[in-house]
Amino acid sequence: MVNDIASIQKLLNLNHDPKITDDNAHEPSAHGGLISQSTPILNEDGDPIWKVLVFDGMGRDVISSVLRVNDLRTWGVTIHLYDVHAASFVSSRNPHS
Amino acid sequence: MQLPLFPRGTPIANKEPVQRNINSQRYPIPDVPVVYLVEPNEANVQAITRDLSQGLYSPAYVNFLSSVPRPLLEDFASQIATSGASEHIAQVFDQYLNFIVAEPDLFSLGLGNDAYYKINSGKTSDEDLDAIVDKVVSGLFSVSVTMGKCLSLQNCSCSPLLLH
Repeated sequence: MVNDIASIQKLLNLNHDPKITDDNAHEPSAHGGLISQSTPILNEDGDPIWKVLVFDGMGRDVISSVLRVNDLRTWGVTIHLYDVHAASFVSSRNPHS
Repeated sequence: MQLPLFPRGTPIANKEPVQRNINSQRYPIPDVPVVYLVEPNEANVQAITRDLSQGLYSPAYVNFLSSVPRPLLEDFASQIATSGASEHIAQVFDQYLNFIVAEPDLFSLGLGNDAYYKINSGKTSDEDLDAIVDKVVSGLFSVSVTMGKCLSLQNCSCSPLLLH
């Protein structure tokens, strides 16, 4: 759903409207993903704004169904963090942690 | 649901994102904005307040997946105000994204595998049933808002399948 991806891109863009660089924004991009070609916001020096993404189980499901890690990096996400629900699942596999 | 987002072994030296447990000890990352994408509930609000009052990240862009109930929003505001973390908050948004898009024309409300059982079982308590119905309503409303269209709902023999 294109609007869904656009909303996620917008929130990863700190709720600024992403600039659509591709005229065929509603077509799947060349690398086969659902994400359209648009550019993240830049700081004064013209570099992408790096950010940390924190999400819970539902947020993970929403994002991961449409974006991959590589797409997140395109949007300037350097570190992403699970929230409580996923964390309890991870720690249950390693009782010594 | 098997999800492809997280590959194993991703050190940041390889320019890959790092996954960490939110309950593990974390250190402040100065001048790096944080984007929260969480469901609006008490535990998440407390986790955000804890992060910000410890000064882990600043500024914070808080995005709630569905519309925030007013009592929770007021609770969030009072927690932030009492912890003195208000200067770290840049934005608080409802995103109306509490549904999972599996394909361009297919979405799931993420109710879990036992939603059909719970709805049809006589053992389900009224509170649980209300919670499921609220989730369905909120999810469908979010789909409608995100698509910018009014949904036409039809009750057909296959309708329970839509709940997965």
